[in-house]
Amino acid sequence: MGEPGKTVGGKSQMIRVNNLWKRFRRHEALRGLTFGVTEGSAFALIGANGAGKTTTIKVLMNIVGPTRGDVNVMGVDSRSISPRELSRIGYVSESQDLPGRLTVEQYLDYLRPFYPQWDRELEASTLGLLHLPLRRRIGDLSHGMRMKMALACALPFRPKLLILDEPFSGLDPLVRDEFMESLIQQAGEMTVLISSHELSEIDHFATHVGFLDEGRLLFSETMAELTERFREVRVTLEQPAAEPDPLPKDWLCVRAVGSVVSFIDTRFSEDALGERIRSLLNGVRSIDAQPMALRSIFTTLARSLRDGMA
Amino acid sequence: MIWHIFKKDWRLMGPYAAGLAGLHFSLMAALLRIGRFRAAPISSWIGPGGIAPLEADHTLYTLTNVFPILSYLATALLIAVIVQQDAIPGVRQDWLVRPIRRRDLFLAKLVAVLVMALAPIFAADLLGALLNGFPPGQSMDAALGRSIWLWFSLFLVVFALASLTKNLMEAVVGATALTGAYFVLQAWRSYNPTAQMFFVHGQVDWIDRLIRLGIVCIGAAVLLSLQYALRKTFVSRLLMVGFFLLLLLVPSVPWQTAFALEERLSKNPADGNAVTISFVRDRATPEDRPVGPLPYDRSDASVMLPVRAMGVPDGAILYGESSTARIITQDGQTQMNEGQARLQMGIPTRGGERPDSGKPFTYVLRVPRGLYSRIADQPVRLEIDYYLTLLKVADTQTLPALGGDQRSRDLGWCGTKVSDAGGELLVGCVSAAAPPGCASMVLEYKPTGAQNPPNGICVRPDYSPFPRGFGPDALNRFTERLPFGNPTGVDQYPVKEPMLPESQVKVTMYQAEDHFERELTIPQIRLREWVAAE
Repeated sequence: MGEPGKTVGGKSQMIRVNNLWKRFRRHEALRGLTFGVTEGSAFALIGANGAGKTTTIKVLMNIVGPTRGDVNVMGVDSRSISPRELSRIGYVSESQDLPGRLTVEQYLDYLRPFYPQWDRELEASTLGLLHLPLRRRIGDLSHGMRMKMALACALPFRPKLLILDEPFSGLDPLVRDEFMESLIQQAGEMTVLISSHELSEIDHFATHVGFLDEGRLLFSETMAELTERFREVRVTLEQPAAEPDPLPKDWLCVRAVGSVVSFIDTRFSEDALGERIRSLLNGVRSIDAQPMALRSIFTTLARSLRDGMA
Repeated sequence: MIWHIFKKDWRLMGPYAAGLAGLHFSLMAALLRIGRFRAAPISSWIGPGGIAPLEADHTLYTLTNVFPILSYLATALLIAVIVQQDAIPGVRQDWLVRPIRRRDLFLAKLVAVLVMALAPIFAADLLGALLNGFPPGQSMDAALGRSIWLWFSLFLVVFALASLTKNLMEAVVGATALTGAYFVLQAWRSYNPTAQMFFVHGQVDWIDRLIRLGIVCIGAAVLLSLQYALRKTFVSRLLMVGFFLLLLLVPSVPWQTAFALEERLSKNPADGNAVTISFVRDRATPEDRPVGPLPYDRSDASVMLPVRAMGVPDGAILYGESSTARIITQDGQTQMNEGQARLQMGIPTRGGERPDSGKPFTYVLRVPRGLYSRIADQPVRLEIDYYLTLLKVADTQTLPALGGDQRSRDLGWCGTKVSDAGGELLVGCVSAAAPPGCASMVLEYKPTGAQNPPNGICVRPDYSPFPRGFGPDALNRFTERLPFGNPTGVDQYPVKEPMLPESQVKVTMYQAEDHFERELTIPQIRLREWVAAE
């Protein structure tokens, strides 16, 4: 992860967050967050409910101000974000209030003049892809339709930065597919910051992942690094197994059933794994280490945090 | 950008605004239908036959009383909804993530409120004035004047308060809480002697109202600036409570200070120079009923002082705004001073009486019973300050008693007719200009010059440069009743119904020329010698 204010790999950082704190009365929602989002990347902010994902995004958008720390979005302090920056930022949130009495068409008519880069052809193709009823009032749309409409309003001006806050919650699989399809068609041109519980949807989309827990960022790394270091390991022994004692700190969810010991290795190294297992367990018959999906990694970490193991 | 936001608001609120405009125009049509005679439908007298029957225009009259309240409430609601289409508080509003300058958002809302809430009122007012036959310039002035008054005294406040709330529910709860607090604090103020000064003293309370209106406007401007520039809702709400308390709890301008300012604003400051007030020592204690408000403490002793006003020009009225008195005992101690002045209220002139006619009038000095018991038989020095206004005739109009219909610059468009219930003549006027501060009307039989008792003598002259309340439209209306005997024949008047074809209504309008103070000093007086029967 690059330090805020620096370029990473020759690419500038669209978002730089440094020691961000946010307090709501007595509740510390964010505690010293530091991370960066490189231009062109798709950064997934994941974490359990109440972890601070939405608060982080609202600070980035200057919807709420930070209590402490620096937040820089597209080279501008978040507290000074002006219409100039906002005209290049797309924002989709499940909790966004939209003018329910306007039709989809009227709402698009309303938005177009605010964005000098608005592309009518792109608008038409996005609308076609998302199957939106233009003449229907926004208030009469289902939740899924409203989310698709929010996306349809965020894409036609080709934003440099697209921020999606829980865009998939409450959407059925078909709508999710349509949503992702539209998103992926545009993703190459923009930087995306997405917070979501629906990790299976962003598994193949995100290039970077940040894991938030109770306002703290536990890690932030590339998707490749993350999937590379997590493995679901299954060790078959020659005799009934017992959990190794002491347990290695980087092994999570360790279980021994019959002659099989299973665990999640959070520091996987293909070269060292066999030797390490044999040093801890006797009579190893076979070792099977499988890559993990983002969703599995998230649930493992979330459970471990809940149980105080991570 | 302003235009785009306004267009969106228009799309959303246009139908509601159009409906509300319909209400304004309906009210205008109802007022037009009523015409010049907009009087309470029930006659003021109750004779042996009971209450007089309702006027024919009862329904319209009721509508013109109910519609304004409805239209003000509906307009306040419209303003709140316009503002809340892009609410300032909260974190879910769409405009927060759009490239919209806050200044543009504010201006768009301002335009929307002006166009959707205020413009229909202005248009209805203008059309109403024109259809009533007033010239375009005068009609425009009247409509514009009312719109400006409504904007600063009502709509700006609603605009500011709406910017502190997220939705209509919050706005309604907030408004209800403020209204409740207002009445509680007003009730408290009504028991506060300092605040009461304005209730019982004279007609210069417009100065106090102007200051309070200033506080309201400054408060609204501060709240709107904070909300639209900084989105500081919590701070703004605290400030709103602060302004509200300031408005209600800050003591009124001292009455004497307000009057001193009114003196400086006198139209002709030298006109009252010749007026003197003197004590008529050689006159016996008057028997007539004391004038002025009832004392708060009925156990007070009422000292009846015959007083004479001299030097009042012919045809002029000397109006007593207020007075304060000091009782100084022989040892030089002031036993009662202006701090207790609410009990020394007195009106040195009365309707219809010429103060310079040589007939003294009674000034009632109310002395707390305890103090009176101690000093009643002592010779004391009495100092009374009178706060006076000299009103001179500005214009006189005459109208035929039956079927009168004429226009004049000062009174506007006036007419006369016998009320549907009979027994009284209605004199109704509609005016696009400010109504006369003080006017009297008298029914006169032309052949003999016989007159019925005059009506409407300066009961409450108004020196305020802005309206006192919120009327139904931009025009000023007043309807006076001149009784000539009710159908049962109980009341007897010099001018009776058969004489009406040869009678006329004389309307005399007065204008305040000078506001001034006079001090009356009685070096030595024993109060017991002048006290009313105990």
